[in-house]
Amino acid sequence: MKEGFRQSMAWLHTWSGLLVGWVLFLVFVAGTASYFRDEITLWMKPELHQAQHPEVSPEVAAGHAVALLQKRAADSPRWFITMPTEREPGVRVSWANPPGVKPKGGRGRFSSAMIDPATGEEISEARATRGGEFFYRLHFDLHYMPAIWARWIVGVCAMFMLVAILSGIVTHRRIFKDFFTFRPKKGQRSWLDAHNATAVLALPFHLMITYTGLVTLMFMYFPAGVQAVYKGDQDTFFAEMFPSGGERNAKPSGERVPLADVGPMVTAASQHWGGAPVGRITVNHPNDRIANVSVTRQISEATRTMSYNTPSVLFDGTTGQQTKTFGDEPSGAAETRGVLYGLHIARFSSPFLRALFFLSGVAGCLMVATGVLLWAVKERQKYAKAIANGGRAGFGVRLVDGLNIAAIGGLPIAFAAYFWANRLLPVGLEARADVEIRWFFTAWAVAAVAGLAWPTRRLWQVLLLVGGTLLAAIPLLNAATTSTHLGVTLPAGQWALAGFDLIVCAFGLSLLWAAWFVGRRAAKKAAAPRPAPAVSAEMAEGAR
Amino acid sequence: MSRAVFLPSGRFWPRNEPARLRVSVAMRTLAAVIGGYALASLAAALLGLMLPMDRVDAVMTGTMVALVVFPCAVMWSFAASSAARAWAGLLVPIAVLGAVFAFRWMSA
Amino acid sequence: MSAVVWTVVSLVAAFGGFVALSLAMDRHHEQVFGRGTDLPHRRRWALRLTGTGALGVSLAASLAAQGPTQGWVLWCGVLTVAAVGQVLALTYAPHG
Repeated sequence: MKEGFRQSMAWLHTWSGLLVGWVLFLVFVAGTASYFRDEITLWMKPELHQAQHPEVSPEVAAGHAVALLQKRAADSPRWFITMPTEREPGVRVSWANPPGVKPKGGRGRFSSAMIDPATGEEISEARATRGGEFFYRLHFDLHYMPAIWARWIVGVCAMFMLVAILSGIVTHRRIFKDFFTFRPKKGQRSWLDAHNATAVLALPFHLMITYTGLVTLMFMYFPAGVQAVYKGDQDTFFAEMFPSGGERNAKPSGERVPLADVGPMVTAASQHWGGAPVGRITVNHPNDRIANVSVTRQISEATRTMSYNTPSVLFDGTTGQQTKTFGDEPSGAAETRGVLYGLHIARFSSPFLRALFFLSGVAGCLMVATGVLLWAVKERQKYAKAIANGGRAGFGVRLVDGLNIAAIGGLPIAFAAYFWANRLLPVGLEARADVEIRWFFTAWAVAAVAGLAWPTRRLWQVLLLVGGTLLAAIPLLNAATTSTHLGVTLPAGQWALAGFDLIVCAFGLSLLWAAWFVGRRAAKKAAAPRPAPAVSAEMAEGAR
Repeated sequence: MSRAVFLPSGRFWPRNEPARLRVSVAMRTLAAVIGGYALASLAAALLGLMLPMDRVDAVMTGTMVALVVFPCAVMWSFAASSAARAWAGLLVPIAVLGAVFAFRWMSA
Repeated sequence: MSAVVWTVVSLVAAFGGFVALSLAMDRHHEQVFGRGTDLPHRRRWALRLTGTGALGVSLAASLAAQGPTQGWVLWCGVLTVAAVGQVLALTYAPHG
């Protein structure tokens, strides 16, 4: 019975992993990149690299924000102010466009601007780019499709992944014995070792990231709980889950009363949380008698909590008096969900911990890649005899080979194209952000089509070479197109920018090494073909 | 009922008929997806209704549990010694939980 | 001691722990000390005890660095880095 159980779990692990492996690879790569989305966005906006950001008190910053909003959006029903953080030093203000007003370059219902917290001046427009936010959105909203479809696709794949992880743990017979095992240069055995190592050594991360990813959209995937208890009344449910959001829908009185000073509200709220910084200020119906201001705590390393839940304090907009507080004592369930959510997004983490998350994410990408590659290697062995006699491998193997090249070989090229486009496209280009994204997908499409058409070792080399070169050359591209290249950023201690150059270059060099390795293995294989008995013995060993 | 044996590559020992195996896999997949989702949803609904905490917290907890019930149901579907047992192993708890849920729903 | 120092302690302890635990396994003992060297029963368990103890020290250091909840998260990351380091060391470092 035990043999049958392990074997059935091995089968389940293979198929739950293989069928969605390529989507998972994209999700993992884009998600891992998202750990540094703010830094990526900064790198992609060279106009902001030189900006000096002296320490400014939050009250002053908020005051400047309100001043701009009074000038530009006095009639708007709702203002948002996002306070500066260590990773995003500007103050972002946005506002709901008053009904009937056409936004100037804004997107539909909201307009926004970035201001310098010290001077209150609007930061001159850096080049339009989605920056790192593109990768963040990509990993759950995909692209070129309605968000709902994408979230269902990614959700199903995530559930497949969870099944794959759990069945993988069950089926890995020698999980402790093989813990430190890696035997390179042994063909299929090496691929299996690599897959096991990248999976087991970062197993807590993989379990956490998959489960918490599902938690972030769990009410969409499993609505039965909400439906049963609230009998379909979703609005009440969300109002109970996020109580501070409900103050906005009261009808404005129409009576104009000047908005109270926001600075003291910021101080009071921060004090209420023991000195923790303010993250967001939402003003509902500014300059109206019923105006109210909701001040929300920042999610950052400073608050010493992993939870994504943010308590908020509500103030009367005309008198400045504190009226209500929310989220100070979350229930066990709310805190659990908050921590799970927070673990996935990891905004609470220190730079070092964020780097550890990133490394684990890279391990995840390698785990998925080695998994699909391992399947192809194993499956192709069955056709070794046929291939030796001049025949072809089966359709399944050829398809998987093609998809592997398209995903694993093509995605780095897509990333590289996105970064190269950012530096090379003219700054004033129409819909520039979308054009950059189009470069990402076009480059990927070209590589993918090539990979599916010619799934050969030679093409692997070509794609790895192209991707590796483009990525490794990023610091040079940076030097050629901006003045904040490594020679400047390293001595100045601008770690975000220098780190981007160095890490991307390191990835590029790894790909170049892989291209060389693929070429070397091909030469060796041509020189000394493996005898058949050793192949099947290894296959039998690998199947255990 | 012949006991299907799965290998990691998806191939099978010659002593089972290929068609019977394919049917078995299909039945288990249906059990996993439909039965598993039903069981997980029932768990979420029942926990949401019955846990002794604020209803918003009960719903949160129940839904988080459902996320774990589903993959376990999937693993059961493929670990069970036959497709019939896979279905039975899911239908029994679904029936029990379903009855409790119907009772709660009626009396609410 | 600052968080940085505790984190370094945690990393070093984890790495040491994994060194000990891996050497307690026949396969890796052979890798490092050559084939045919016998691993006596007492030494195996001494290595396992030391290794586990070192991992415990690593956990304590992580908790000291980042607090009672975040410390566990840090420890998992530290374990991953240390384990990967040990695997690479075993595979690629020159052996006697």
